[in-house]
Amino acid sequence: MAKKVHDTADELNILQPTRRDAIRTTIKGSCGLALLSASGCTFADVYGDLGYREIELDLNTSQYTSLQTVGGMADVTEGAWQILAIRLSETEIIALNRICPHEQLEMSPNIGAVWFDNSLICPHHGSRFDATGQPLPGSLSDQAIDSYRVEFDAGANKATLYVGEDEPSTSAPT
Amino acid sequence: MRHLCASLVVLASLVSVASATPRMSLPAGSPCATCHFSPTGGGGRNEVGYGAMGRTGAFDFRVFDSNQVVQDRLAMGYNIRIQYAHFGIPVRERNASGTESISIPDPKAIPMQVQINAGATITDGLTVSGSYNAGPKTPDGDVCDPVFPGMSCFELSVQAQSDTGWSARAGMMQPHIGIRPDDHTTLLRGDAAYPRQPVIPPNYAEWGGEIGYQPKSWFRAEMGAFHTDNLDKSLNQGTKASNLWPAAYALRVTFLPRITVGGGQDDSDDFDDFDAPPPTPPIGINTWFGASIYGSDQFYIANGFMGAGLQNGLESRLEVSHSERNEAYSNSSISLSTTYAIKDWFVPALRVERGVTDAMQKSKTWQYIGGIEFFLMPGVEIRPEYRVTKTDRYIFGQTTVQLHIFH
Repeated sequence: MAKKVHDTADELNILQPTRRDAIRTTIKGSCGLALLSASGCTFADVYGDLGYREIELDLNTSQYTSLQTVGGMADVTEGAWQILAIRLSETEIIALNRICPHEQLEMSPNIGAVWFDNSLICPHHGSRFDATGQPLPGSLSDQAIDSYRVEFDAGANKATLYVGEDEPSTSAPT
Repeated sequence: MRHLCASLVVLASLVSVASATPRMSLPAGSPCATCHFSPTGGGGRNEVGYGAMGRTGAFDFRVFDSNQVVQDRLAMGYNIRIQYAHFGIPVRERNASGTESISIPDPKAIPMQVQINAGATITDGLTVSGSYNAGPKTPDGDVCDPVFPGMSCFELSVQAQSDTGWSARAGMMQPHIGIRPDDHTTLLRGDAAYPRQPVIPPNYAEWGGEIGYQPKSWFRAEMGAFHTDNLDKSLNQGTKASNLWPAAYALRVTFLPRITVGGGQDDSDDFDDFDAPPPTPPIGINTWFGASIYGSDQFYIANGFMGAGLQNGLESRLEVSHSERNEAYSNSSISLSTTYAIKDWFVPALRVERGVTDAMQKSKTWQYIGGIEFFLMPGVEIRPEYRVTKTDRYIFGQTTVQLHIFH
């Protein structure tokens, strides 16, 4: 933008930039740069690693008491593993990756993820996954979530999760 | 008619949230109700509010001169926010060869808020105001489609104000909880363990009533009772992790003293001394400090806040909050922010927040946000920001941009 100056002598119009024009140009440029750098300035790190682990869950501890009830769920976090343990029946606990592939958001019971009608429902956009981690029809996620082997001793109220490359996954990695 | 058409166009596009700007309130030394119909801020702007924002812009190119549909009786407006960001969190992945890498969600632009609002002045001191927030599935016929559990798709309240300092309002509205933020990602209303899911969601509202009392310009108190339907959705989603009564209590007390510093006095007795320098004007500092509590049975959120604003546009705020949803789950947060309105249309802003969730596992989250509120022209704001979120599990820094179109 420029200020239009009228020359009364010959009615010539001269474009003369003002200080405000300079400020505006600077700001517009800054905004443009910000837009351009919207992806370029991104950085991220996730602490821990995805090495093989055997994770012991004691259902008598407060952290996992929710797994004493069928349908109950609990977050399990070890290293970079973010897992959701679900009590499927009196004798079975399953373990699934709790990051929904749709938008990489967490599916935790603490923020509304639920096990309902034999499926895990993402609290954010409603994607549904079966007990093996496969997405169900109508889900916004078309990718499966990893599932992990679990040994469960219902009598002792203890479960062991086997996660990592040494253990076979029951579904395709995301 | 033009306003109605504009509002219908907005309604046809769609999604949700709410906003208010405490950073404007402090330097001006005026409460939210000066510019908004709602005393908590957010939603529709009254004539003063429109007068302040309807003329702010680097380019004074106005589409509308007023938001008054019926002069002095009915105002209508809208808020549309498009947010461009990497939504989601980074995750570590391992490929087939065993190499680990960090996966970041793709950036995208989403309509974060599509709101229409209106405020009607029935008589002097009696107003009715409300807003409606469309959701992502509203075009498919889901008229009330909150994005976050506990969000309300509308607010609607009747407010009465007397000359004695007493006021009352009733309807579907947000209780006074600390200072209503203009950014729903604030940890003050969030959960450090799950920063994406706020405890008090944006556009949170309940059916209820409230009385306010402001006998002096420097003191205000509000007390109210509200239903807990949306609070239950936000906290529990059917899990019943937090026992709630059917009703919640709300109390907020705020002191708003204005401090004057310096300023020379013209104490010269010589009336003929026309060469004497004029007295220097004093510096006015508008401040607020106060506290609020909102709760029901096992749940409560308590906030303490203070702030100071200079009339030249510099302001800083400090707010702390503590919430408990049951004996084993609590959040504590602190937020420090400062803004400086170099021009009314160019406002750099900084905010640092720390939140701690004390549950079965303790979680800490830091947020660092720096940005610019740039009002390109009246009714159009561009807000580029750089955000860093650091949790116990990851650190994530990204540039985000928000386009805010409002009337």
